[in-house]
Amino acid sequence: MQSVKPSGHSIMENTKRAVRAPTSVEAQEVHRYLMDFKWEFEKNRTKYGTKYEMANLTKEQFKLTAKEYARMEAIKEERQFGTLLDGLDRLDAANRVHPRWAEAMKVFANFLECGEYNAIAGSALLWDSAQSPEQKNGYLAQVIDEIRHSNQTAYVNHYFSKHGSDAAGHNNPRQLRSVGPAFRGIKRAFGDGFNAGDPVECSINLQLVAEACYTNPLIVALTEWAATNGDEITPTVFTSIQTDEMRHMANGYQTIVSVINDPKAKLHLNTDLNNAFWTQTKYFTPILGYLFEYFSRYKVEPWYKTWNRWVYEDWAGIWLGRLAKYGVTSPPSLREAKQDAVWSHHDVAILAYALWPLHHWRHELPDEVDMAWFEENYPGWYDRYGRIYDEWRKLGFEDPKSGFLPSAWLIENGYIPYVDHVSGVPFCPKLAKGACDLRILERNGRRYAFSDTYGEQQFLLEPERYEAQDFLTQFEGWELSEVIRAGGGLRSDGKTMIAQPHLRSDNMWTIDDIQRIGMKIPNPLKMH
Amino acid sequence: MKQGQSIRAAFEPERIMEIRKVSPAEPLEKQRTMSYYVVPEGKRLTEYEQLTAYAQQSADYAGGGIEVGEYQQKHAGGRGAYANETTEVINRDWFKFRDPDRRWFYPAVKAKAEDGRTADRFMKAASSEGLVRLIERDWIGFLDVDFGALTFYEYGLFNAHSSATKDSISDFVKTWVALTAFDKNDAAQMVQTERVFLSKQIENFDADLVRAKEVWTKSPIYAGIREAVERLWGDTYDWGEILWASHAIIDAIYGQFVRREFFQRIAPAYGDNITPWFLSQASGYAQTAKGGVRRLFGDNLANDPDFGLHNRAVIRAWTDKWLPVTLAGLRGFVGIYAQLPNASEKVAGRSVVEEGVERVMQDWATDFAHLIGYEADVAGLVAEVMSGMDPALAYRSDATKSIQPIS
Amino acid sequence: MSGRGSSEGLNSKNGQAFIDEFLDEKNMTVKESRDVVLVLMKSEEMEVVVDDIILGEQKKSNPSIVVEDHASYYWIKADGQIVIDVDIVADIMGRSYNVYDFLVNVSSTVGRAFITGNVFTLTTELVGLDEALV
Repeated sequence: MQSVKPSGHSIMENTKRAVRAPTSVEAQEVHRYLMDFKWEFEKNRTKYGTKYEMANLTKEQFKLTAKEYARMEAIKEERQFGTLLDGLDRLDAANRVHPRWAEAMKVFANFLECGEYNAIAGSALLWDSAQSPEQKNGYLAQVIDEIRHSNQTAYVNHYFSKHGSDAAGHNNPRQLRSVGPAFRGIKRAFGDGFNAGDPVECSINLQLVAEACYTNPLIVALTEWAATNGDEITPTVFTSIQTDEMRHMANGYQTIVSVINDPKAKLHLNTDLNNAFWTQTKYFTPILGYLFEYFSRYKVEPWYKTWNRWVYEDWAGIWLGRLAKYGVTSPPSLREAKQDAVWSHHDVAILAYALWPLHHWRHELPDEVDMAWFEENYPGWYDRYGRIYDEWRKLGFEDPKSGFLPSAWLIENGYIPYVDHVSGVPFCPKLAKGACDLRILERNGRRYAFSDTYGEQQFLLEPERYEAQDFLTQFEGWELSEVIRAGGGLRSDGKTMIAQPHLRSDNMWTIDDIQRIGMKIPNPLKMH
Repeated sequence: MKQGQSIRAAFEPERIMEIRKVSPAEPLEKQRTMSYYVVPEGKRLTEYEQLTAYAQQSADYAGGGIEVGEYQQKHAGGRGAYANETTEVINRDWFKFRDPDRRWFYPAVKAKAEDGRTADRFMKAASSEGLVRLIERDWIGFLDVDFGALTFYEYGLFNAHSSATKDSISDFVKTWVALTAFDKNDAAQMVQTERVFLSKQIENFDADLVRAKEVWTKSPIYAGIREAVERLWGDTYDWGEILWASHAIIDAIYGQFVRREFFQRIAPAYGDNITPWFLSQASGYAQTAKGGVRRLFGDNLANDPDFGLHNRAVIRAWTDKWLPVTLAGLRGFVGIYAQLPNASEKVAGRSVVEEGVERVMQDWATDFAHLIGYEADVAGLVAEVMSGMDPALAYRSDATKSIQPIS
Repeated sequence: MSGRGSSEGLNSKNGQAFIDEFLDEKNMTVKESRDVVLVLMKSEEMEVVVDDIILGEQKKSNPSIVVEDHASYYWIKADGQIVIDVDIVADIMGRSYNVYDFLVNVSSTVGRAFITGNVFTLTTELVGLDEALV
């Protein structure tokens, strides 16, 4: 390179010739130096240690700098909020959503938010434990992404609160979910499972299973169900959330890359993978199928097909299958998972209907159209579940003056519900067609129910990690209306309930209707 | 061929009619504010508060949380994800903290994207007018080595935030910690961005960090501050302490001095107007961090109605621990003035350096020490730092000598 | 028919026939797949990517590519890999557009995705293990 001549200023002779050409610096030109940002020092140790050895040279697949990340993400946000606040608002999009589906979004948006929020800490845990600066950089971007997703999912509730036809439940899910029977499961799978454990175990839960596998049905496939049912708001937000998930999947893959040559991987990786697969499957397989199929007027396809495509053929085949030559084996729990993919959402649905007063959403029983669809796609569905729904309807399920509570009916008829201690998922052995194997153990004077051996094994190995009470034990002896009041389950008139067993504007249940029944919450573990 | 299969209700007349038929004529609920039960900081709930408040599900013993019950799964040994015992300070209500800048994702990332676009325009304009031609040769070695060393300082502080992001106890705090960490990561990368920018225009200026790292890890000039950063990153577990030490002590003193009093003040004397521009962003981020630290450690912790006295004692103890190591770091750093070639008294003379140290220490006392009732003898602290300029302590390390291209 | 469509293969079956095969002993373990899946959220730019790149040059070199319209997104599946040179997309659109702009609308991937310069690659290969990631 030829030098320019000195020009009389105090200049450098060694200035490049192209000195007056406009130039800037691209993100990848800075990113290539990232690996040099670290230095070795004696006390450089992770505060959250892992039983694995994470390699030093692991790379980041998307080569981001903070500034380029911000530019890219700001474009996403400008587009998303532009669509929501301008285009969709002008189209009154929130009132073009089928009311059934709008109820589903009270659950989806908030429960996904739980996962996104907890993934902030989960990714920070990995940023702490990783050794490679590029790997740290990828995890850091994920920390910031998760703030985005937490805000975005909240924004869906915020948007429906402001613009939709029933704000109740969209406006206070963070309050009411706390006492709800459905939330404990997501707290475990999408909350603590991401950030309370060995960092690599958390990464497998968060990135390799929850994100690489279950976000595809939860965030991608869901948008098709949404649009099919008139919801153009959710696809605007969720497909954009998923644009970051793609990088998180790469983070999960890089976690595996960083540990797979560690001899300890041979000892632990397949066990951790099976536990993570079962942890996520145990909650997501039933909850997604339930929300898709029972909250849609217009169905896209049976849940087992979505599961087969996204979970079995693509995730398992393309991620786990390809890693087989590095010693990754088929998770043993795949067998139970597949059985659950066909039936567990029906098992959970009937319990969710039975416990309807404790939710932050409204819920109508399957009608004839739904029942025909269920029977066609799930032969045997009516005999197991449908006839009970018909019976409940006759007994006054929807009528606030009937004094009928389906949960009381279940117990009176010998269908005892339990809560699986590790997953937090309610189950009823007598009704279940999904994988279910009731076990009751006693430890230090407390009783615990389990619905499968995978969770039971996790408990037996480390019982101190699973100390929470389930909601039946916690609220044992409470009169039902007290729990609802305590959780904030009333609308702004102070008496009509947020939860309803139908979607009509008339004949809505009030807290008095529940109180009049006087049901005390039982503890099934004491019925043995 | 694209294979179509989906039916969208928005475009299907039959579905549109059916949805209309089952939709309520009037909204069923009048309370349309999400999280209406949250106590707002101001008159009304902001969007920031609605989106952030109580997003975190925690155990019911996390101060101020609205959750019921325990964690479903915990760390091996039984510690929960967000546990009170991760810090010695105590707050009656961790969910009361508000970032003074009300940053949630969109405003935060939008601001940074604007900074990025501004930097891009600056680089194009500065290169187009040939601004590097004004830089004196004498200064190039400092951009290679000492400015490069700033990358490690910022990167080390950034990494100290990983466990703090994980451990911090409420959503408002955690969001603020993560975004503050992100700024530190950005600050480290922007130092390198300038070095890459310079390497494109200055012959033989290589953007690699080899010599900078050699000096950062071996030179006595950086030994003190490097040790402080290493202790914070690798050896400090309390997330409250990490935040206080990072932003209220180390960066408030050492970072402010190096960025403002050294680079931003000295660089123009050597014809370098590029470095002050780049550093203005990191300085801005430090001021943003200051606002949050003052709010959290002052309003929320030092003035907590139940635990204020306890918290003040803890934070003062942290200050006793981190102030000496930070001063030692800065005392080491001021030895660098003796290396400045052909520097006038106006630039590197003892009295002007002392004025700079005094500005920094006085700001520190006003912004942070007073916040927790910490007795700060500013004159004594300045004198301690200035002892680093005493001739007996001034040196040029071998490492620095070996890399400096200055005659 | 490649059999890669979302409703092909086992998913073409319904009801009990599907359930029987899905739960058949031979399908109780993972089966390795060399396919990749790409999900693009619908946007003006992704229409160009789908029409001109994926169904254009990529389809010519890799006839296994399937593109399906799923309301809010395009679901794309192929054997081996999908490569998108974003500079070509920028040329077609006549405006500045780099690989990070492209990522604004890349919703999901199954397989190993990475960028090099302005080129986006989604591959079945185990980058970082079988071959170095540059």
